[in-house]
Amino acid sequence: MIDDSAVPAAPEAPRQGFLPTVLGALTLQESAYRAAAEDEHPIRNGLIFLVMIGVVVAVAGVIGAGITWWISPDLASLRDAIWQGLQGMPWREQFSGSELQQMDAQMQETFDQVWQIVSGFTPGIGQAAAGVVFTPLAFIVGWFVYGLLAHGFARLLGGHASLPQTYGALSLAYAPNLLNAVQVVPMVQTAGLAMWSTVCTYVALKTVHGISPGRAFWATLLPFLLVVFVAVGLGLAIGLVAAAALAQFFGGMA
Amino acid sequence: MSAFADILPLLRGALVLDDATFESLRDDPGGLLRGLRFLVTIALAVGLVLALYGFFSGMLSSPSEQIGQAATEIDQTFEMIEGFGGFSGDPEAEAIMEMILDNVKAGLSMGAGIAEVAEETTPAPRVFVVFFQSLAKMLSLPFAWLGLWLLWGVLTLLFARLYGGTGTIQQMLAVSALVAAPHVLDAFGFLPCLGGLLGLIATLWAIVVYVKATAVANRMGYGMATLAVFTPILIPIVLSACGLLAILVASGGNG
Repeated sequence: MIDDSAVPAAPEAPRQGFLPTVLGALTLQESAYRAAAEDEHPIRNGLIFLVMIGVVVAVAGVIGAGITWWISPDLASLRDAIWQGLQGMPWREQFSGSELQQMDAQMQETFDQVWQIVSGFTPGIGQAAAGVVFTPLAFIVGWFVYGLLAHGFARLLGGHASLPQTYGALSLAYAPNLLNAVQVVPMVQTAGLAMWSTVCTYVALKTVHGISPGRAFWATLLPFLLVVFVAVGLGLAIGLVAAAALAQFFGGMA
Repeated sequence: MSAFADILPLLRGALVLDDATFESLRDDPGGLLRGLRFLVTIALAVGLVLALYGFFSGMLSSPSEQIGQAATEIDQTFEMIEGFGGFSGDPEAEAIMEMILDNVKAGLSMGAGIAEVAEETTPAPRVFVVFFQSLAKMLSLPFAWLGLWLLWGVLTLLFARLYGGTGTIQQMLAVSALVAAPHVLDAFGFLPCLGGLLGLIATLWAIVVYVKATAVANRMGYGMATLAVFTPILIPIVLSACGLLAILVASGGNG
């Protein structure tokens, strides 16, 4: 049930067009976040906002992948050139026949593994095209999961917005991701955007729930800490179960 | 008034630590947009100069030529060492040095070969490869600056509020965007020797601008503002020192 009284009525206009909304979100204007929360359909419009950002970023990624292919050397030829170069290094003369064979086999295995990892960092056009579906999907899943947790923590810390209002405001925290469209130019590093999203999230929660800066800070941070805690706990639990199974297996063999 | 018309006045005001400039960003509801525009514009301007330098130096010599030059310099260095006596009288040391030199030369030769293969198998003409590399460097700079500006802004505001400051996140970020002003000098980073010195001057000047921005945004004194700015660096240093001390004490106790 939507709690219309939770967020005080704003004197400003309701939710604006896409670009003015993005600009308002990027410049941390509370009116923009309030408008998104007070929207008639905050979840539906939040979803549309995320899908639009995701598609723009993914399409830019496809173009970027195409340009990357055009300006990049052929990976297979590069791989062969590196391997041949390694085979011709003088330090190999220090080893005898059988030692050299063994070393070559190990080096080949390591080289193949490293090359597989390196190749993974240069996604092809096909992978980038798949991003048109998966990028908005990833945004939506993250928005739902994080939004639920952040809403819970904000309410615990004294906030009074409804869940749809929280989701509406938090959709604007994805606005900085639109700047990833600059990756239409290959090799551009956009690492600073994650911090910008976090700051937008803080402003969204503070505005929509009407909580103090300190509480908004914790409402922003706690979902991340919870996810890390759960991930570490799961990892430890799986490790313990695996260790117990191995101990039982080897104990049975003895 | 054009959106970018206040870039130069903000630059001037930030460099001379003009109170009115800092306060105008703090008190203007659109201050964050102005600050953001200022920071991005300066970053793009610096990035453009560095990108142009990178483009022209990249076009003037290919990677294989640069590797060839490095191999020549290494040869000259070893000849100089031998000219000064080198390892004469110690055949084992000479043999090791010769082996190291052979492997380094082979490595450089391998690098030159790989660079040639890369050039031959790249579909695009070299001018486009260098162009996109330079463009990427130029566009990456604003994002790097944005990330640092946001991170340091949040951390500084956190401690400024603890020390009694009253600024909001919007005010803190708006005023602290002026920290980009001294970094105009980073555009000359490619100059030998002078580039490093200008970079150091830019960093020190930027710290002063940042302390002032923190003081103005949070309406606090310069002493507390300095503490707020440096606390995020001091805490990890103090914690590391305590950790090191604990390890030393523990290992001293076991010894």
